[in-house]
Amino acid sequence: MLVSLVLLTLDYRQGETGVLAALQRGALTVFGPVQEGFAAVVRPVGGFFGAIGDLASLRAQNEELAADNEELREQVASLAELLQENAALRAQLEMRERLQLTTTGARVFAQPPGSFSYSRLLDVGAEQGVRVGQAVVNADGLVGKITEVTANNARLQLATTPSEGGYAVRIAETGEVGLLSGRGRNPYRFVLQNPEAEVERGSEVVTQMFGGTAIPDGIPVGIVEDSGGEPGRFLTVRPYVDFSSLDIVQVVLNAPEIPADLPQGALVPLEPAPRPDPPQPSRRTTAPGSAAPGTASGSPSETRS
Amino acid sequence: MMAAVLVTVLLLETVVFPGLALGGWRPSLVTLSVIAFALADGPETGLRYGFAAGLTADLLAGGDQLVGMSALVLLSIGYAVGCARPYLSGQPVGAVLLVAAIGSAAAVLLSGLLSVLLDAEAPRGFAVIEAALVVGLYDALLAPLVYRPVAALATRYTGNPVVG
Repeated sequence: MLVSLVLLTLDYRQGETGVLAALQRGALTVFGPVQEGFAAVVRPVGGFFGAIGDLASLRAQNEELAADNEELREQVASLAELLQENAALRAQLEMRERLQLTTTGARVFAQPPGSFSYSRLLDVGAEQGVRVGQAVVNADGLVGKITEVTANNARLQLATTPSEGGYAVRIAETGEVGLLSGRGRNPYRFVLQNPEAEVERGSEVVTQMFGGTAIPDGIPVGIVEDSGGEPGRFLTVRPYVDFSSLDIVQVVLNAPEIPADLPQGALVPLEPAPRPDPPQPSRRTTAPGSAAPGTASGSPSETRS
Repeated sequence: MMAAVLVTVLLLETVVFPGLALGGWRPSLVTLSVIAFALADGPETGLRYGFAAGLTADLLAGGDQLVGMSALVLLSIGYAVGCARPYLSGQPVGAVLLVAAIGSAAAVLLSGLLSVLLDAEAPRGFAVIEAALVVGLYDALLAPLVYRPVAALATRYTGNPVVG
């Protein structure tokens, strides 16, 4: 005990530079590598025992990662569908901008029972600004028009509905106007106003605006397939739209602006209408908002009720 | 119970099956359910259920069909199939398929005929025949799937013995 007290005093008094400090450094130099070597050997063993403690948390982590992986796989699977929907919506947006339409997207969610139903139910209604008589289009062209509206749903009557009346259309290249009627699964039937007019196969058919309609001008409808027997009698027009795979469509909300001096019901080729203002979001279910000129007046081409 | 079956069938036919159309034609599950009930329960049930189902289908069809047309067609089919029921007891399942096919095809043909007579947006003759054939076949394919549950439900609720 006395020796240690002496050594303590000596070390204290000598500090860093004294003999005892040198002895300490010597001890470190000698013993250090031994300690290091020993540590290198012992570390895996220590690690092993430490890992056993970690095992439970590792298992939990593994399960979590497996679940994440599964979720990511599912997301990848639905990705393909999203990409498809994206492409369809982009194409419809392009068409809408090209023709300067104000539209709202709608999804076809049901078809009425029965084998011969030519209408579809849409998931937009009066709350979204849909009115009876509005046109419905998709990226390919004219799909049909709205015939019934409730607060949140609407009925789309396809353009291919077999009927005598139909849509006012014209040949895009020559401007010849006429009436297009649906023939169910068969191509449209197109009757020209001027029976003597010459029409070529492959001519494009687009909608024709007239007084009292809510259907905009210039929407592609189909392509002339057959000029018929006598020139210009009945033409068959193949639709652009694939009616068996309708999913998302656009309901055209803005009616074309009719020039004030045009007599109601006249069926004449017109300049394309200037872009109307977008309609106010309307919650009224009584008065038709933006389709004001649309449904009220009778028109020569709309013979079907 | 019948109302629940009708609602289920209508939902399936209007929402799910448009995507599963064969050659553009959907099966007529409503007609199948009428045939199934008629086979399970007899002509009166077939008639009543056929009328109810047809009326509901007409109301849902909007402007496409005159209200009452499907009601008339389906009640006739229900009655006819129900009347054929005694002749079918003891026959194998094939008889059920045959009845389903013929019944469905007949329903489509009758609908087409009535449309022409009443001049309500009539489909063309060839389309009607094609529809009758395809719908009849598709319905026959689906008949076992519809018939078994319906027959089971019918026995549970009415206690009558069933065909097949």
